[in-house]
Amino acid sequence: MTGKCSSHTEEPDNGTKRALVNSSQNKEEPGGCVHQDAILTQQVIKLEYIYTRPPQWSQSLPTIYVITPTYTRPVQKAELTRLANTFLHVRNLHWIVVEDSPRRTGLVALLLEKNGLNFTHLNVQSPKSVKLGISKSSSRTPRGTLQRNLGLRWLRDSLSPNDSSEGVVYFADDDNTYSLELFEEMRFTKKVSVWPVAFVGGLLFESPKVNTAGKVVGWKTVFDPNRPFAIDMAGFAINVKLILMKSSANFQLYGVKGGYQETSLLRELVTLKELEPKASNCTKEIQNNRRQRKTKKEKDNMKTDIMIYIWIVVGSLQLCADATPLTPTPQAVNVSHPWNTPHPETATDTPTWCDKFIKWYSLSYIVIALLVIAILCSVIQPLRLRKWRRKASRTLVYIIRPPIFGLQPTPHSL
Amino acid sequence: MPRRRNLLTAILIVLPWTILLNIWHQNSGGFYLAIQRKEPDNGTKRALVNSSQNKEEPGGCVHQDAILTQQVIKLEYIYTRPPQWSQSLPTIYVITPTYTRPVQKAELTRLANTFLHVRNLHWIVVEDSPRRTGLVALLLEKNGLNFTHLNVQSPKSVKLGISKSSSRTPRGTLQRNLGLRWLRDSLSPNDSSEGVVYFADDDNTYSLELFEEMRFTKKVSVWPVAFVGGLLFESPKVNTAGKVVGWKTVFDPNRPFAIDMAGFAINVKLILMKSSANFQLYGVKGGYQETSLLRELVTLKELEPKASNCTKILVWHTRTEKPVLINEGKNGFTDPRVEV
Repeated sequence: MTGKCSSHTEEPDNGTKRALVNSSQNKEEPGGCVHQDAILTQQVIKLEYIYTRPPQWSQSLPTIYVITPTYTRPVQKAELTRLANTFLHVRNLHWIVVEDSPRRTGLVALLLEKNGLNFTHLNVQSPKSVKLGISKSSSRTPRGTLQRNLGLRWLRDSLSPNDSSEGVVYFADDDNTYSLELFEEMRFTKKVSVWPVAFVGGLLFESPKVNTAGKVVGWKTVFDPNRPFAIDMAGFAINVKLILMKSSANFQLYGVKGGYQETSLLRELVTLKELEPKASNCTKEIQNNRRQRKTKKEKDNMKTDIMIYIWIVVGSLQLCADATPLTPTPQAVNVSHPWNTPHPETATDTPTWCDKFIKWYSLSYIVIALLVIAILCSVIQPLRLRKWRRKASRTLVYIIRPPIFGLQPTPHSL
Repeated sequence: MPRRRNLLTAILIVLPWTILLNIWHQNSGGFYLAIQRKEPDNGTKRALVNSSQNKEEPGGCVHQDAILTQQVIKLEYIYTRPPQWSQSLPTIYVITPTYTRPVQKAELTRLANTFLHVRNLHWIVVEDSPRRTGLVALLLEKNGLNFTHLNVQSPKSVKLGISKSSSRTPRGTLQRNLGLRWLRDSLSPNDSSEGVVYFADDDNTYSLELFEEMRFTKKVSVWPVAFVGGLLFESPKVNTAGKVVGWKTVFDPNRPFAIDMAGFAINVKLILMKSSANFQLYGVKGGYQETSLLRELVTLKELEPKASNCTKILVWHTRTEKPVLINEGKNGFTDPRVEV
């Protein structure tokens, strides 16, 4: 083994595409080639190192077909790199990357070739109404649907139902995190297996409800738990034979309510009783769902805005009050003040007048303050948001902003 | 005086409302950080030295009946990572500060999946907590990496989300300094083994070529980093002779070292020789934290540009969005016994 690697000095060639079938692939022997002088053979060690991944293809293990839709954005290469680093640990994995673009991009093609994974590189462009960031209702139209359907179609074209090899289909988005145990759990799926997913549906995690007999009876979610399959795209895997048998089962593109896209595929394949719960009967979660988005959280902004408005309004009202009093104060009848200043004084002998006056005065302040705040919120808020949305489209990553805790009012000198 | 009385009444009316709003705001902000699953500290600590470790033979054990020996294949599979320790390659010491938040386990899992490909890597995880948490300890043990698990709590003024100026105070400084101190305690300057120190935050993305580029650093090597300083990438300016002469950044390019934490690696001998070089905690302007360490170690002329003379991007300063946990409600919907 040591002799073999000392002669490797050529760079990997860029042009040839790797063979993409699910037959076994002969990789180089892992390990070895250690006892050499590091400085002189620096180049050699690097090459050997990269090509010892992924692990050797096994004839007996079922293949895991991972379908990943992706689209061009600044963080695309970083996301795919992270994903590849994870997939390179998994045995018998075939990665189907489907780009949302008119042509296959060089960036993705180069990344896939250099990694050494078994891959298939496809592309299909979503119509403009569905594409990200352009449609106003893009948050409700499911993303990646056309791409996933193309992946399913490639599988149906490439594999025949009579093939004896086993396989599992998994839909992996490029911005999630996958632990390595997940792939071993899903590998021996008979029909459709399910497990919990973290950070979806506004919860720490969503999971299927499993009864004592080990069958799935419902869904532990808050967002619409009455869906036939209240599960995230990353929470299930399908046996490839099922995909090949039901050759018309696809994700529905149009007319799908938010959160129902997974249902649109799964209802044609399996019933609730046939689901196989994994991850220790859905008590472990082994896969997290996170997104890198470019918009700021509007809630925190609203809170801080209201605080700032309150302080500004109160402060300015105080200043105004000092200059021009809101209500005409009754002139002093008895000038009992020793300094004989022309300040208007309230009558000191009738407490009811005094109380009424203070109540009226302060009430009016509060009412005016609330009115002004409401007006400011309704008028300025959308304007500020517009500016932020424009800014957000230029920024590249989401920054967690700590909340600002109120400004101090300007002290008055009495 | 009536003016004073009006003022007093107005302030007395407004003050409790604002106090109320402040408290409400503070409470709802800190609520989700308080959903911590405090696990008991289980950990039997792993042997933490940088000597070679004998791992099982990688590969092999393929031609078996899959259904009957499912368990066997699984175990075998996990223990073939990471690659076998080599006596001749320099060790890469990666110092990662981390803190408890919902996505902590996901970030560390992703990072571990990347590090498990790198040969001779020793991962130093420093938690920002009063005690080492079971979550991190379990994750580190199950992975099979060479690791060191440390912890030091940042004072409240520096900790995230509490200080008013937390965006300006650098985060993770105490943790990185503790990592450096551990290195200085564990290794002696006369040791012949080579090594490189790299500061890796838990939310960035690292390609595998990066570690091979930094492995043979003599003093300090630098390379471009994506998504920092408000640009697609920041990089050092390299002249035709292959020396670093400046910095291609927009945000304060006149800093002595206008580079991100993820953009440089230091030879461990340099750390051991200059034993007082640390990150400065207080009084550091935004963007100057890397300078506070590097200026005590190296000058601009001695920097080694990597990544094809700083033309390739091998590390991305990605940031993770906070997950939306609105449906958890006041009492929490999900089972608190499940570790997320």
